[in-house]
Amino acid sequence: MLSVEHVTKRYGNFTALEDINLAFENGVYGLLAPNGAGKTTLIKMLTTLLFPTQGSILWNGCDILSMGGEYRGMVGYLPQEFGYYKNYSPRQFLRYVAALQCLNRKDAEKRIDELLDLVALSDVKDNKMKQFSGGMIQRVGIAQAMLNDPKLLILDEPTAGLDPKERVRFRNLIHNLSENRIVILSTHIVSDIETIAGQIIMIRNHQLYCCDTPQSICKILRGKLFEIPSGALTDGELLLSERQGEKGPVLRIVADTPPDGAVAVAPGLEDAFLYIYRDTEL
Amino acid sequence: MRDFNNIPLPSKEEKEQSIQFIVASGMPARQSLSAALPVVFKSVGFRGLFFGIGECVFLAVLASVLLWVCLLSAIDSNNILLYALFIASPFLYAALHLLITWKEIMSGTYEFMMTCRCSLRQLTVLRMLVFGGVCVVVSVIVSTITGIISTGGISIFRSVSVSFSALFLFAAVQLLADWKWHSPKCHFAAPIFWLLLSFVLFLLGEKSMDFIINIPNFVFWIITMISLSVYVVTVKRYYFNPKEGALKYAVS
Repeated sequence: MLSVEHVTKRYGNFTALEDINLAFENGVYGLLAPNGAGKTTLIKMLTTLLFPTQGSILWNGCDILSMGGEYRGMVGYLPQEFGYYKNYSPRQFLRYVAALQCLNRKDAEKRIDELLDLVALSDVKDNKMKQFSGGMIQRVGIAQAMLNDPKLLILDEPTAGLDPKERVRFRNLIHNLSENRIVILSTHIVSDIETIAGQIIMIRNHQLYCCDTPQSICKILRGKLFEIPSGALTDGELLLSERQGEKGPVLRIVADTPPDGAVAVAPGLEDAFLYIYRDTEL
Repeated sequence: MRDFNNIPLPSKEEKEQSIQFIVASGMPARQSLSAALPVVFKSVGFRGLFFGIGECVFLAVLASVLLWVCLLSAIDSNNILLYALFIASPFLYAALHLLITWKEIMSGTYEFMMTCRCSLRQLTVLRMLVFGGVCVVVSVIVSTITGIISTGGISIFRSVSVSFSALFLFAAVQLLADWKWHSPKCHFAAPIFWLLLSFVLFLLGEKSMDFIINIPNFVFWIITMISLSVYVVTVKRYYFNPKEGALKYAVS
């Protein structure tokens, strides 16, 4: 459906992304990389806000830039910093977005009510948005991105600034919306996508590192991840993270052979992320 | 027996024509601006053009009224009157365009609106055409009032020509900058150009005022027609040609 073919993006002499090749089918894709890796550049190219320096992005074989409004009409986009008009209610704002998406007014009214219900904002649909919390605004953002029933839903750092409860609610919402469409969720928060993304896209050194299932990515650490009591590490042991155990601090390390007293643990996506980006400042 | 050496193959021109026909049939029909704009206008509606920007319109109108009141009260000769008319005619247009762009950027709606089916660029074209129309009406009214106030000093026809030439010259420069300059700073190009022009004319004092008053009417109308033509052609290019809409890049 959507394919990114040999896409490179340069800003002057700086290469933000180099020779990216990806193919998207219906489902949830997590775009996972540290800040500055090129996630937002890729997202902005998928939304036609930026153009590739080289390569092309195709929707069913057509270049998205030549498709213009037809392509944009199929895209739902929640930017990293979602902008809204504070003095308007969500219903007024969504009516305006529906007009910009060239939706039929009658259909738009019905869709707005459905979406406000879906994002649990029905009770406040006529309240001014200046009274809303960050989570409520983010839900308005989701509703506006879903308004045109997009074939491609792109969410850039959607959980930034949300409290844990809001984040869980958000994840469930995305999971429910992911049928019959491509959902691309860009984040550097592993827990946001670990449970809902079928495929994880990782970018490292401005190049595509992998596009695979979370399980396959975790295989990189199979049999190599251990927990040991806090203490000095020896050569060949790589510290990934630290947590509080029942008997004090516990270190989560990667090693080819288990150290004395080590307990083998199953790797999670966060372990794989920390391992893959071990040389990168997170 | 078949003669494979004498198969009637198409000529190079015939091949080219066939290729062009197939490509043209496969490509979507190119929409004209006059056909595209009514569709967008029907969807967005007149109120939609000004959604969320009511305060910008109010501020621009208020500032324009104040500017014209100040200018008209300070005018004591026809030379100054024409100078003031030339410099101040694009003010409402410029103020509306700048304030609205600033508001869309500051409220954070700029980028997401660029990704809608009717993008912010298309909405901007519609807004600019409406602002242009409003400013033409305002120019005619102000010119008529100045003509009446000056009681025979300058004709209404001359006031309108000066006013229109200034308005369309500014609008054409603004649109050219928006279209050609790949940076959000492009929005400031025309206002800065106009401020510099005003400043230079102000520094030249009597000389510039004499110069303006000695320009024949037809020159102002020629400037108007050329600027209007550039404006219309640029609106078309601006509307249809894709341009990057990201305000800032992800890396710095």
